[in-house]
Amino acid sequence: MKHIHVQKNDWLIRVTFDLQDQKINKLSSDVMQELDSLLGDIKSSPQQVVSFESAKNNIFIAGADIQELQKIDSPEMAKEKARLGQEIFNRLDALPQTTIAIIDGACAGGGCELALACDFRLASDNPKTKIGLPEVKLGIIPGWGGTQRLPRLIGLPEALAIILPGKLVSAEKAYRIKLVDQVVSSVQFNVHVEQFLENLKHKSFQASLLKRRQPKSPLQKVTAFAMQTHPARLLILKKAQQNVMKTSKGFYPAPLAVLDVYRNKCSFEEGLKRELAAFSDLASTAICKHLIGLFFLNEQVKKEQSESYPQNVELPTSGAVIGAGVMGGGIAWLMSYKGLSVRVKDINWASIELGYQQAASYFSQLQKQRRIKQGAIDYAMNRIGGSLQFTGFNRANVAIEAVVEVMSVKKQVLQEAEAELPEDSLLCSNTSALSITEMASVLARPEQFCGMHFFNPVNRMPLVEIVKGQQTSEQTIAKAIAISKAWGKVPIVVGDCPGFLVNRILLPYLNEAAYLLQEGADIEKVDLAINSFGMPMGPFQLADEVGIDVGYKVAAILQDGFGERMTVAPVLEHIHDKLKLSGKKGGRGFYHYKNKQIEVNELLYQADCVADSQDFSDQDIIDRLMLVMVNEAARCLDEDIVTNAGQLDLAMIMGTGFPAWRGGLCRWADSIGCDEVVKRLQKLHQQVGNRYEVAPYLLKCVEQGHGFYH
Amino acid sequence: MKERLAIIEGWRSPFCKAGTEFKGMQADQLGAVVVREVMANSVLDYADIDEVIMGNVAQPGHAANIARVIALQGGFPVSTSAYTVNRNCASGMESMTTAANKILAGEIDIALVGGSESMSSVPLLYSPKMTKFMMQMMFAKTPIAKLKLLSQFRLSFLKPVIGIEQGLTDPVCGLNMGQTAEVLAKEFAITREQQDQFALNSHQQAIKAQQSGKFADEIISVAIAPKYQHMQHLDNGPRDNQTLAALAKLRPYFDRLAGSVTVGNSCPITDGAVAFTVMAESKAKAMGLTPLGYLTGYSYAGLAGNRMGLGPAYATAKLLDKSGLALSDFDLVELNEAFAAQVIANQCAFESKTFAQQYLQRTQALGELDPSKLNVNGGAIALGHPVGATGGRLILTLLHELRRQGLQRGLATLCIGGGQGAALALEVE
Repeated sequence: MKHIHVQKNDWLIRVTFDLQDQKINKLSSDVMQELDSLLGDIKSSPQQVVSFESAKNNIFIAGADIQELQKIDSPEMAKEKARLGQEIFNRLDALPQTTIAIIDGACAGGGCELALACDFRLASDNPKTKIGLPEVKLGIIPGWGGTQRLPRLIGLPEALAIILPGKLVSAEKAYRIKLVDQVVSSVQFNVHVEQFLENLKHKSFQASLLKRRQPKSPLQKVTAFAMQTHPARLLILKKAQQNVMKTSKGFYPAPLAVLDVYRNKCSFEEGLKRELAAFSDLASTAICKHLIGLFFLNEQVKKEQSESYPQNVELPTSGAVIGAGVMGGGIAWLMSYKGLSVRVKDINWASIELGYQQAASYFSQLQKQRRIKQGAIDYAMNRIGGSLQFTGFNRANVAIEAVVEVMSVKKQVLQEAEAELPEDSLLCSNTSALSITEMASVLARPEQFCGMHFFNPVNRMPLVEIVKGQQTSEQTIAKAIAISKAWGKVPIVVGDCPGFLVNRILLPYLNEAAYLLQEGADIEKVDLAINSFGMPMGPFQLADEVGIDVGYKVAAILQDGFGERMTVAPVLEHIHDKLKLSGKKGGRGFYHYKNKQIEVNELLYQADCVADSQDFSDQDIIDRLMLVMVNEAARCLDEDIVTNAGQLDLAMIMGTGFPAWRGGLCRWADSIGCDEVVKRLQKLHQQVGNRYEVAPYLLKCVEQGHGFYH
Repeated sequence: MKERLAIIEGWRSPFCKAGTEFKGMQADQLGAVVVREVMANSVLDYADIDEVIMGNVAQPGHAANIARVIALQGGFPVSTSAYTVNRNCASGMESMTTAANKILAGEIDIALVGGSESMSSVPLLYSPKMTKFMMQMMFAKTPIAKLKLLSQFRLSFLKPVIGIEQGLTDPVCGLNMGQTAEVLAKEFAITREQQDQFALNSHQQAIKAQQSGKFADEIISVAIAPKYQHMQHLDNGPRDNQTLAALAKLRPYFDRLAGSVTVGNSCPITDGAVAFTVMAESKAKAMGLTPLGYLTGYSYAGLAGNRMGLGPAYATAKLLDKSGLALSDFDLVELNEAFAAQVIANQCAFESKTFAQQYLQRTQALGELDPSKLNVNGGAIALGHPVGATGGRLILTLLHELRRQGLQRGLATLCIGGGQGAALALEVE
């Protein structure tokens, strides 16, 4: 056997998973085949105990082979794959011996399902030990008996809490919810494992482990009994459904399919049938393909970056932020959370206070999620030092500028800061639209300067655009990438054009929504249509959220840079200059925010440049707004603003909330077909104007017969 | 002293009355902020500092050896050793003189010293009877044993010990600090009016200094924990609108029947922190640094606890003897204003030949404490007295004022609860 090693003595069979030539263990069809034949062998063996272990560092079994999952192209193929796994694990479950899974490291998906099929589970307290069923994140559900074994072991509520969000739990949590039977120290793990296996020989020890799984106090017994009743079950499922709808808005079918499997109590066999049916339906859907595609995309981008840029980067221990507003405060929060001491500089104390407030609010959010305690917050906040001078800049290894979006101010501030920073420090700008190359022109060390554009809110948006200026060195980009990763962000390297990548694509979408308003569209209808497409916020909501002043400034910069197709809609000028609305922060924008109920700002319909009410279908709205983005994306790829469609899609998903289940902007365009996209754009070019002039890149794609991806 | 101790730089937090802006900040947090800013402003790196020595009196339970906690929170690496000193009100000075000892003995080269106190955070304590009850309940295993203990419980057990009150009471003579001030007021026949006038003057001088921006040279702004919504830039003790009439309205606090010491003519309990970097003068020269000033000599003296307010007289006498200086050699004097009565008592004692002969083993009086040289920017009555830090503030404010006026030599002295005095001789060039 290639991937599984077996050791036997007179009472114990040790089965060790060791996938050949790979750093991790996964249950590929090869491995499952070997396991299948092995089970037949074990069944007729005289030994009493069988242990399932791993030879990989920090990995038990990471799951099924996702590449094989990706290849599933029909429900029949999905059904066969799942049925085979269910059968194999059933046979494992039915083995006459006492079976135990020895978990040290990641135990996810199919690996967890294997562990569940064993009689007992032992875990190490290694922080890398994570156990759970994350299938939902790939658009499927556990298909190898996990949906049936998990609730029968730990109860329905805990099982739902793991399966629905696709969560992995720590060893300590697993022990508490009875998912594992014992936790031992990862130090001298082998010694503990040997001892445990020895103990397993004795029926009394096994009985004590089983006893632990029973409810103890009278209260626990009553609760456990109550949970089993039908009304309780319905309540649990109802709550779970509410949660799912709240987070996923119903766009992701997988969690809903899970709830359907549990709709009423049924036998184990019946449950397996339901699981099989649901898995088969989901595994061949486009959504599943898209989510799996994104999983690989993430890995691929990391690989591309590690190949393109030098890897030997020293991470900073001390940082600085210039400009302490919402973004500055957020960046200061991020640095201090990751252990750096941070100097924050601004021109007045009121701004520094804003920065502190912002950082404190992000920590407070973490505290509410129970991810950090007050003591750690105090320690981290103490790392942030605000001043009106460049105090402490002489020790900062990385400095990020986040002042107003005015080129002259930025140039001055960057020049001043550079003079205070150590020779080898990295200097960045968080600008969302202004030219990095031009800012670099006033610096003494322009090769050490790049754009590091974070997205709002800094604590939740994973994307960072790393903007390469003309003089930026490869080493600087490598540093910026490494630092972003160390801070838990996903960096995408983009070119230095106005708006860089994400804002350059997003602004035409916001602008176009304004044009729709001018043509008589209903604000709420537009937002709802876009919500139903899958964007978390419609364009008008987003504009209010970001701040109309902020958006307007960026729009003006883009118009300057790109000309006619980015002409700012007159109604935006009216709103910004005449009505002076700033959006949510000012209480009024496209919507009113004063009352509990958010209402459309009807006043806008009265503007001179806004036509009388006109009906637009949802499809019209989606075409107008989403296709203008596709068109701009094509231009970005043509101009090498971003390396490829995959990185573009990842950026759009992580920077604007573009629905992941659609796979990304380019993926969505490909799903319609580039020829169809071009056809629709040409029609819009005729009907609406030059803003929809088809990008040459798209015409080339059609000519060459491929999509954005090929 | 073998050579002068160079005080390279120093900063302090704003001082805020207990229960006001800083009430949510513990002493270690306050100290950490000041330490962080001292190091951020310094030419020295964290790695240059051999030891951190901080003064603190309350010694809060959550931060044992508070100097270590302050050092780590203030950004020092785990390799920097640290310890805490406590000489009551002079702890801020003690940290500096202790550092001087170690540096001049050649044990360390560079130290970070200072003090921090959060008098807001001094807790209420369970009385010994309550503590005993709770311990016994913890150890009682059977329900019957617990019931038996419960029957012995009395409501009076719940009466807490007020930590701050306890801390400000001398256990040997049994008087609290205010009561010792009353002792001096009677001994030196200091009237209520004299004390109130002195207090008013302290506020006026402090306000003038604050408004002219003088304190900006000493203070670093602090983001107020735990909410971090605002920053504190100024001391909040000095009262712009203080009047004699308002002071006269107050009733005596420590001797309700026949006293004259009120909360108006006493210093308020306060939160604050201060920190300095120090090294031998020769080291400073070798490194090409320009220090803020120098410590040239110091003395501590003991006296009866019930007259502790006269500490400055005793300590200054010792210092003058040791250094050969005369009081008139000092251009400015900072004498801590624990109570107006206590400062005035010192003024009398300094000037009195009889006092010097009877108590200080001197033939001549110490000298006149010229009011135009004394606490020229106000004192603790206006600014507050965070006990662990005040010693440092006196040094800091004295050095800055000497520089401002182009003067050379200053005396920083304070009375110490429990019956001691401290006196430090400082120079600028």
